[in-house]
Amino acid sequence: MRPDPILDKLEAAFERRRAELLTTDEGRWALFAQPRDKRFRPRFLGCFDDEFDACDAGYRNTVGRRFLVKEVLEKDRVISVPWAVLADRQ
Amino acid sequence: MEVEVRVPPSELERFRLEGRIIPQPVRTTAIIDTAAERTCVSVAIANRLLLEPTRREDLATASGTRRSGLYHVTVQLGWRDGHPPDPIQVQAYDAEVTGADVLVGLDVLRKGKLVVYGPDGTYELFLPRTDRSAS
Repeated sequence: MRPDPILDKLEAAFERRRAELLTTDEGRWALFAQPRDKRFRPRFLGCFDDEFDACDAGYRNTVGRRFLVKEVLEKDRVISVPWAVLADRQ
Repeated sequence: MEVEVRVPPSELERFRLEGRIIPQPVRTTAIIDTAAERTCVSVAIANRLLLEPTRREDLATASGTRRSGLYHVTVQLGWRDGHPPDPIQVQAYDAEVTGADVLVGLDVLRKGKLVVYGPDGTYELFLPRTDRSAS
């Protein structure tokens, strides 16, 4: 997939807070937003029980900016799509 | 199966607030895959809908693991003019699907009932009504 430096920064912000979030919000969906001023780090906006609610909050509260919605888990899931998708096709 | 893929209402509102072009829904072909955990859309569909990924995850495929973006979309399966099916919200992975633009996975199929009539080579998919509008 193509490079996405903004998402890279949002993912890095999530990784920095993953251990802390695991103690309070394991299994919930964390929302991080790109800062208005790009000199600052991404902002943590909260955790939600449902990933669609987290996305809706992201669309409402980050107009003009990107956001990340990620499940708070000790290790990220690997989703299986075994047959109709090839790994090396873009 | 014919499917219509749309930007969800909350993201459409954001497009309006940002003064961006409102993308038209994309009607295309989908295949059902009972072995796929999640629904996938082609990168071309994500690009046509001007979508940006809300996260990235690893996708395990027959030929290895690939990093894939996730996109919040609504899908309307079994599209028929005059009888539009209810929209279903999904977080779809970007992936090139063999023989279609959309792969309907268990995240959608678990919402309803899929009946396969083996001797006829036909199937019926029953999905519940949803309370979320498409636009």
